Amino acid sequence: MVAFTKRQMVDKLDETAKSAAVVRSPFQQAVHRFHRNTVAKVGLVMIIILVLIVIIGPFCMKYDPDAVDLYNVRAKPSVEHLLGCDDLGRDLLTRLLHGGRISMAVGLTSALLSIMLGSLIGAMAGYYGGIVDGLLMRFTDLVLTIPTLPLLMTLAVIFKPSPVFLVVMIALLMWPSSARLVRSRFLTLRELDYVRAARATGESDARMILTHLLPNSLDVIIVTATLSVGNSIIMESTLSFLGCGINPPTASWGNMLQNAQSTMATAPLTAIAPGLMILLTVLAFNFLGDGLDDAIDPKRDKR
Amino acid sequence: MERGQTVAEELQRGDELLRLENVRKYFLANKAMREENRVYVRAVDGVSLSLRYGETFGLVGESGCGKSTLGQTILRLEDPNEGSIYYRGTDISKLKPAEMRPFRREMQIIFQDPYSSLDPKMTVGAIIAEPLIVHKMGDAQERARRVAELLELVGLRPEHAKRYPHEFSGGQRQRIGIARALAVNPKFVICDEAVSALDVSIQAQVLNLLRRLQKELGLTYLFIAHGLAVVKYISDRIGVMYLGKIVEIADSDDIYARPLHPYTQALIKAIPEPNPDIAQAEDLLNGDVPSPIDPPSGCRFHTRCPFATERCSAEEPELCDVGGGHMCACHLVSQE
Repeated sequence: MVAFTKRQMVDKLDETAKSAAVVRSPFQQAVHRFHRNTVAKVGLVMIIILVLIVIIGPFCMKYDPDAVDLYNVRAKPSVEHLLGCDDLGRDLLTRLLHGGRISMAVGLTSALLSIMLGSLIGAMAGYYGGIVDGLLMRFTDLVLTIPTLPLLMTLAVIFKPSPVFLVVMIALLMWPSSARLVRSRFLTLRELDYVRAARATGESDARMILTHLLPNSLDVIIVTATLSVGNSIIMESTLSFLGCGINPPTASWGNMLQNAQSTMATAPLTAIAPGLMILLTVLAFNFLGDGLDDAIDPKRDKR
Repeated sequence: MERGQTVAEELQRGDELLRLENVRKYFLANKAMREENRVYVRAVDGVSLSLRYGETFGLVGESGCGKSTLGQTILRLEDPNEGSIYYRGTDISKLKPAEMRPFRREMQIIFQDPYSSLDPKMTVGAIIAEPLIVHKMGDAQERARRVAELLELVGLRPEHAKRYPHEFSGGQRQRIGIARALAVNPKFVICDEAVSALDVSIQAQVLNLLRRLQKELGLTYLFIAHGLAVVKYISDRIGVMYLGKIVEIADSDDIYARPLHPYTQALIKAIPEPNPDIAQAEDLLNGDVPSPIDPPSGCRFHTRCPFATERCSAEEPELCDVGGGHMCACHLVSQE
């Protein structure tokens, strides 16, 4: 071995460390990779635009979304009614914006709720393993076997579905997929040496989960959450379309589509507009989710 | 910085620090519900040994012989199925996690893979300070000072505390791992193949560092490795493990001068000879390591031993003293 003085060696080590990377923290690296991902950026920009539209849009409209105007039944698009009117003469654009608020809010909150529930259950199963894992995963399997639509339709008949009810129901039926993903990540992490080192130090379970396991599972959680926003929006639309979701006259993209069944032939925009909005929103969230997946994929990390 | 004794009073060099008695660790290899259908991997199958304060005990054996499992069992990262682990006179083999905590401050581990042993989401400073936080040692300022001190101790710079593990090379990461292990002033450190994943030149650096730290801090090492070459350099005593059992224990010099067990002899012959003019010894070992699920009867080495007799396959040899603290488990040796 070549003899180095201690100082020389430190200098040499320092040089290597400096040249190792320009970008510093794992978060900054992820931002950097995200920045180079065009599809993901398109998704993010689309989401920002859509969210701004549904938040600000309704304030700019002069019509009440639920006001019936029998003189304008199925009115063609005009300067007064940019997208025309539906079968009760309600302004389509106004309803589209108000419905967007509901659909987006239900989609986002139920995705958030389901990822929180899924992460909690997945984390417990993955961390404790053994019997806890067995029981929780069988329960997860059980929830996955529940036929979602018939159940929700039955419940909608029994209870009058409010937006909050919908959010909770969608979340309760959607958490299993995120639970499985978080569990498998926890199972992998649990065997890694830095977690063993933490155990050898005597860290409590809570500290181990909060400081090591959860931060290193955040990529899975964020990606799953983003992708499930799209699913929740579709779920809400489906239910509203079937008449088991948001109750008319309150507008949502789903029940606008249902309403359009009778008017499609004469006023095609009543179907095209909400359909297109659902499509764009889901697409945007899926773009973003896929892009995030690539950006924080640890396999692209040089570790 | 608080550096008090947590378990007992000051130790003298040469005092017994750790004693294992008949430690066994079995892993379930299938998922059978009924006991009679269960198949176990006998990773550690009755190991007894004792470590003295201040010494380096080298533990060698082929991959899969159970040496790493033994290390993890001592730290209670795995719970032993049987046997006792006495640390400074206290049996720690059945302690609950909370009761184990004061002992965890005295025993630490350095892992083989410098890539998976550091949390990629934490800065180096946070990684090294973690054990201090867990054991409530000092406030934020004192911890920062201690981290800087530790980084210098292992040959890095205090500024490195702000960086992330991915910015460092394998050797540097191993130094960070060493700094983390030393943060709580442990007495006993398990080096689980701590240099096996490093380049040869870096290996020497890290070994020198470990040696220096031992002198400065009075550490006791259990140095686990798969080959004798590395262990020879650093160990005071060496134990050779085969299929979950210790077959020979002796002073480092003694085991090279006078290897008694045929397996130890084979391992010594397996050390690469740097001079090509010296003819390589013939391979002494034939075949693969038998499965630890169903280990051979009698002496576990008899299937690969060139000197095996009938007695070897029938009767299991005991680990017995052949003089001067040299222990060996072989019928051929005990007959003489």
